Parts: sequence; C-alpha cells; structure tokens
Amino acid sequence: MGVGKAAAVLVAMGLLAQAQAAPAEKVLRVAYDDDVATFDPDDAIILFGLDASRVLYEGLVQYRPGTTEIAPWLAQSWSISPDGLTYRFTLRDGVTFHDGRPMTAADVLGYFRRRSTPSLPLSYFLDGVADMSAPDPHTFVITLKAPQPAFLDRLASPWAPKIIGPGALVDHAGGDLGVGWLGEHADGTGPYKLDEFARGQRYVLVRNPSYWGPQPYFDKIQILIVPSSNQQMLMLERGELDIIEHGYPFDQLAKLPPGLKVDAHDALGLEMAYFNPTKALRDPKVRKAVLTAINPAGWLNDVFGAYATPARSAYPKAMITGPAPVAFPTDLAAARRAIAAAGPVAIEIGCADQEGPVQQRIAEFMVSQLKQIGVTATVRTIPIDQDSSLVNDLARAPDIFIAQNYPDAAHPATQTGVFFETGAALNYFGYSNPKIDAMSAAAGQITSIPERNQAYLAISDLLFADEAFIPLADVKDVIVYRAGLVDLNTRPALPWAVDYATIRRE
Amino acid sequence: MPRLEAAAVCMLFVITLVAFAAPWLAPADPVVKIGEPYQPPSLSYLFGTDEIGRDMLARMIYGVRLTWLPSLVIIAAGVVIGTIVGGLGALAGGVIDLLLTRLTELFIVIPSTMIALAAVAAIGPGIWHTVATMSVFWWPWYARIVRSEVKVVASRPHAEAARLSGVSGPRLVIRYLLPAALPSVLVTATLDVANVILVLSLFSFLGLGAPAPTPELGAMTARSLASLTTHWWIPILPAVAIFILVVTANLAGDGLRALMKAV
Repeated sequence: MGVGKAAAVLVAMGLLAQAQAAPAEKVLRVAYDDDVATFDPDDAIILFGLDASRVLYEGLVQYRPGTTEIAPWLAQSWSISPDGLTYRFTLRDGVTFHDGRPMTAADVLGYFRRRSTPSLPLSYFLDGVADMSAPDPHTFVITLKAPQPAFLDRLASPWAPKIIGPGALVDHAGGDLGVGWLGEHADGTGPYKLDEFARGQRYVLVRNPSYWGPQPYFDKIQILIVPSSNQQMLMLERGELDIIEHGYPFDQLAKLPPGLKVDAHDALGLEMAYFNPTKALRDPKVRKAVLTAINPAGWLNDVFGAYATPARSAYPKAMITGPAPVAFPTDLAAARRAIAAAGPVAIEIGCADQEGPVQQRIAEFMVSQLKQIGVTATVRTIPIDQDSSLVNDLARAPDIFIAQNYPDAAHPATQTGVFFETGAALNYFGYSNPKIDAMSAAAGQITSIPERNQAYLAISDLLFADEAFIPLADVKDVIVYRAGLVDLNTRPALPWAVDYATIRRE
Repeated sequence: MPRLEAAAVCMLFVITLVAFAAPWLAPADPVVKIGEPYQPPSLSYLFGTDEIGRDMLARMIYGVRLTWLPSLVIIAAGVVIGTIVGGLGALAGGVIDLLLTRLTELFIVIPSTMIALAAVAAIGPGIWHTVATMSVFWWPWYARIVRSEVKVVASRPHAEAARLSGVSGPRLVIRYLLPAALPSVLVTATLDVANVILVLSLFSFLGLGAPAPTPELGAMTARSLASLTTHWWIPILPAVAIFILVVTANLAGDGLRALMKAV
C-alpha cells in the first residue's frame, strides 16, 4: 500500500470515528394543521405558531406553567405605583438578541413604540398607555392613562408585546416597520433562532447558544404543515412526529395506539353559542325553545368525552370557576308547543372553522335536537377571517354562531372586552347592553380577585338572561405525544402549545 | 341487450323509484339522532349509525335521492339547452350557425368544472346553486350531437320529401329532424349521468353542495374521512353507493347504445 493510500485510509477512519462519536442531533418534530401567518408578534393574532413564537421572542412577563400567575421573563422584577398608573420593569442582565447585540431598555422602548403603532393589528394591547420611557439601560417604565388591573395579564398574554431586536426594527425597517422582513425572519431573544422558513411547508428552529437562560434540550424544532389530522395521526404512530398539539379527534383518545400519551389541561377555550337576535330568534319564546334544544347535556359527552365539562359561566373555568353549571331550560314539551305556536321555524347554525370537525359535530347534534322540537336547521361553516364581520350584515349572518374562543389573557376583563361589551371586536351580533358596559367598567377596576370574580359572574348571569351569549362547555386543551417526552409545561392561557424551551426526552 | 346491461337499466328504474320514495322508504329521519354514535352495521341498524348517532341507511336512501335527482335535472337541462342551440344552428345555417358553433366550442374548451366550482363558491353553497351552475355548462356536447344529426337528417330523402310537401319551420324540426337525433342524445345522456354524479359528488365533497347535515353522498364521505380507520362504514358506504350509481349508469348507457344499434 502506498503512503498516499495509507494516509487516505487513516483520514477516512478518523472521520468515521468522529462521526460515531458525535451525538445524534436531538430534534422535536411537530405538525400544525394550518400555516403560520407570521412569527412577527405584532402583526397577527395567530394560533398555530404561538409555541414557536414564544421561543423566538420573549415578553416582559409570562404566565407560570400550569397556572394563570404572572411570572418574570425579560423583566426580572417590576413594581406598580400606588395609583396603579406607573409600571416600572427591571430588565434582566445578559440578554442578547439573535444577532448578538445586547438588549437594553432603549431597545425595549423602541420595540414598544413600534407595537403601539395603530397600523399594526395588535397595537390595541397598548391602547391605555400614556407614556413610555427608558430612564436607564436596565429600567423600562410604562405609564397608563387610567388604572388597568388587567395590564400585567395583557403583557403576559400569548399575543403580548414580545421584544424584537433593532437588527429587525432598524436594519430591516424598510417602509413598513419591518413587517415584510419579519414575515420570514426573526430577531428575538428566545432560546431558539429561526433557521429555515419555507412558507406552507416547514419551519425549523435551532437552539440559540447565547441564550440568557438554561439551554433547551432539543437542538432543533422541526415544524411541518400537515393539514390532514388523519395524516398527522399516522405520522405520530409511525414515529415521524413527536407531538400533535391540536386537533387529535376527541373520540379517538380513548383508544390511543401504544406508545402515545395524552396531556389534557384546563384552558381558556370556552365553547359558546352566540344568538343573532334579528331573525328567527327575535321572538323570546322561540329563543327559549331553541335554548332548551341545544342544551349541552344532549351532546357534550358524545363530542368531547371526558375532555369537557358543562360551562359554569361566560368565563372559562380556568379564569373564573362559577358556582354551578349554567342552567338550561329542560322542558322539551313546552319547547315543542312554543315552536308549533310560532309557525315553521328554520334557522341556520354557523360554526367556526378553526376547530372545524368539532364545531361541525356540535352543530349537527344541535340540528338533531332542534328537529325534535320542530325546528329545521342547517349548518354553515364560517371561515375564521369572516367571523368578525358577521355583525356587518346581520340579515345574512347565521341565527346561531358556535365557536370555541380564546380571550387575550387570563384576566376576565379580556374576555368581556373582546366579546361582550358594546362594539367589542368579536361581539359577533352587535349585542349592546349599557348595564353590561357599566358593570364591566366597574369590574375592570377591582383589584381583589374574589370581588372581581363575583362582579364578572354577575355580568355572566345577565348575559345568559339576555339570551345573547350562551356558554356551553369548558373544553380542555388536549395534546397527544410520544411517550418519553416530559416537562411539556403547558399553560391555560396559551392555546395548543407546549413549552419548547423546557420539553425534553427522559 | 346483454343481460348485465339490461339489469343495469332495471336498476336505474329502481334507483329512481328509491329516490322518489325516500321519505317513505327511509327507516328514520336522516338528520335526527336515533341511537348511540358509531354503532357498526347490525340487525338493529343495518348500515350502522354515524358520528351523531343518525341512521346510516336512512341517510344513504336520502343521499341517493339528493345525488340522483339533481343529476337527472342537470342532464335534462343539458339536453334541452343543447337541443335548442344545436338544432337552431343546424337549421339556420350561415352566420347564426357559425356563431352558435363557436359559442359551443368556447364552452367545450373552457374548464367548466373549475368555473362552476368558482361560481358556486361565489354565490354560496347549495344544491340548487350547484344544479343551476352545472346546467349552464353541461349542454355543449348535446348541442354538437344535435347539430350534427340534424344536418345529416336534413339532407336525407324523407326530410326532403317533407319539405317538398310543404312542411317547414318548427313542425319540420319537431316531427322530422329532432327524432332522428334522439337516440344519440339518449345514449349520450345515459352515459353522461355517471359524469354528472361524479362532479356533483365532487361539489358536495368540497362543501359546495347542500348545507350540512343534508345527506349527500359525496359530503357524507368527505365529512367522515377522519373515521376511515376507526369506523369504516361511515365514509365507505356512501362512497360505495356513488360507485354503484356510476357503474349502473354506465352499464345502462352501454345497454341503450347496444339496443339502438340493434334497432
């Protein structure tokens, strides 16, 4: 053997040994049903991608895992002035952005200014802010126009402001506040960096070696867009996926294939029915009859099995636990008589497409029950981007809209402010009751949690009495994953998500 | 007519009968829960129950009605419009024939199913929206057949004789020309039923048919695909019904063609 050949063999053997010695890359493989609109924390209310977004970007505060308690994040501590107007955040030391620049209070201020730009859809989180400042590199101060006991919850929300670095906001600002660049890139402080962005197909996050906190277990998070839940289930069974965070059919959870486990936790997803009062449900007697027929007692177990309970109020029980399940009228004979007296009643049930199969199934159970009291009903799916515009054309809107909605945060003011108040963004059928608005304004100022909850439960009772918002079920968030994964660290206020920063294999 | 095809023609009559008599034949209301969800086929529920606990047999019977009758309406509309356009062109000749022929060709070359899908999506899903939209696009082949047959027949001795004896206008068309085109149109229509059923099923599969929970065969399959591996009868039985309808219509078309040739 010549010297050259011998050297080549030695080099090859060396490379082989090196390859054998290198630890296998640890990859967490997840799938989303739908594409991620953007990872930009200010530009869209996303559901798919929240878990990825919160390991790319971090906010000032967050919810502690498994609870609705506020915990430090990029702010290691904070104080609130006695008048409830000034929030002073002390920022964590040693935090750097993904491009290596250190984070300072000036960066946080610059980011919050961007967030409060009215053209950005999530700027409303900072509507009540009067002033912001960065008196020193470690301190960030927010002054409110009026006290907001829910303000820290808003900052801990899954859609809360999360700090974007100047690498994006200055270097790539363009003419659109960096929205275009951030649509396909990320520059946060989180434990993962965005490594690959293939819209509609695949997103890859890689571990950020200069992260200020503990290093996450997985080297990579690989996110695939797989719209078919059947395909996701097959991939999970075959070991091509590690987790299905959303959409595993409830009726198949009882007979999971071996090697799979379920995490079911209380969440803020409340199944609600919204009544359109301008059409068939204008008549209070018809409304009461319909209410009798759609009683969740008739379908809850069939749809959700053990993963939902009858709603206790117009607030999810992870937010406020009402004293008892909402009491629906139960006299079916009286309902039949009321419908017979009202003449032929035909209604349309709209169901949100964001939990498509589940909402469709609930609606079809309702159709069956309504038929038994003489009401003919059909079902129409309402795309998620159209539900907020139902109010613009009530005559063409469905008579009932059913959806599982998520409030912005765990404070009941965020539920009332988004769904129930006059002019609220998701007040689907334009409900307006000045008494509710006044009660909501008063409840929003209460700082004692028991008193606050009582005030909101009174609002809930009035909403149900008005037959405008019908709480149906508290639904658990269900995550199916391969056995061996631990420290999922789910949070009630964070829908369809595990914590990629803490999850690991045993 | 071969036995298989003859059986298919008989089957078509039975299917039509079932479609008309669905309210009396169905063992239960197709939208009302009658038992526990996901009951497999048994003596209690011959075709099982679906994810709501509705009787699958009742839903299938109504599903046949909602697939078969609209198919017949679409075919009938295609035949009527095609006959008018083709017949008018053949008789008028000249510029009118040229224009109608070009119009027919235009409708043949455009991707009609895609345009119909877009149109139904725009005006809103619904079985009669689907039927109306498909009818608009389903006539060109019939127009071609009628035009060609009428042109051939118009030059035959019996038509010449009719003309010489003073028969003209609508009477000439209805009495002497169109009957000659009828066999070809009938055979084409019978074979075409299968295509219409498949396109209708596609519409309902895509959620553009009747609103849920109307028991349309395509929609029943589409909505229950997630149950394929766990409760096979819910998506499979409606799909089998579509298959049987399509095969029966095709065989019946072949049978009619054989019969016409023999005559």
